[in-house]
Amino acid sequence: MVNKKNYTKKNPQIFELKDKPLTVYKSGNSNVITIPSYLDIKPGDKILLGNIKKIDSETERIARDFKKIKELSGSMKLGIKNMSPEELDDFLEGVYD
Amino acid sequence: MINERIFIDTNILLYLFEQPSKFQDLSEKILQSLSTFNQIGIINSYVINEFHYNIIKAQRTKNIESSIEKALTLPNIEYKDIKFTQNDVLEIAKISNTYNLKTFDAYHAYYCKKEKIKQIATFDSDFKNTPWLKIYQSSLDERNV
Repeated sequence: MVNKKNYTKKNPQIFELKDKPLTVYKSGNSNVITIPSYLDIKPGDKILLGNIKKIDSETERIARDFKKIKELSGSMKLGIKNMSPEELDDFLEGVYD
Repeated sequence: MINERIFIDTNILLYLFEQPSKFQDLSEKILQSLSTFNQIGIINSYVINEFHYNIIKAQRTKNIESSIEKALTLPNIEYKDIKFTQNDVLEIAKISNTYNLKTFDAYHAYYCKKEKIKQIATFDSDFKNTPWLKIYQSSLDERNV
């Protein structure tokens, strides 16, 4: 639910919702966006939508993150792959030399 | 909602970027777990310092900018430094002594204490004795390190 504190009214025609996405629902053959009732927008009002940025679903975001991790994973030759964490720790000790 | 923060120790990054190994796989799962559960992995300049040093030592090259960039572009990783005062440094020395932690490990442990970070992702068992830190367990792995 959108909290009233999360939007600002810059002028009577412009509302800005901060970090609160609006969800698109399916209704018959239409896609519907619900608008919080405390905003001064009534049924029948016409509004312009600009700067629409689609937010990834959680599944899309996680899939994108996993892909990025896979891309970066194993991308260097550091010569430590056969070291145990204890051996690596000793190897890093030189950082104090 | 505030995302839970997990401190990422240098060994996680080193094994992740290294060629395939058991620990690379485990590091990958830790990063995947952060993403899955929308947690934030925290690194700081001390982690980057150790990472940088290791790359120079291993690759014998000073061209490591891209390597560091890779670490900083990992998903769900946030770089954040804090300022340490003289008192902080004395506290760190005390922690190093009390919990038998190496210098950088003591810095990591104190950083977590100060930043109220309760978990650390690491393969270093030395952190097991720090009472305010729990070793992060990826919910995606079944490791037994």
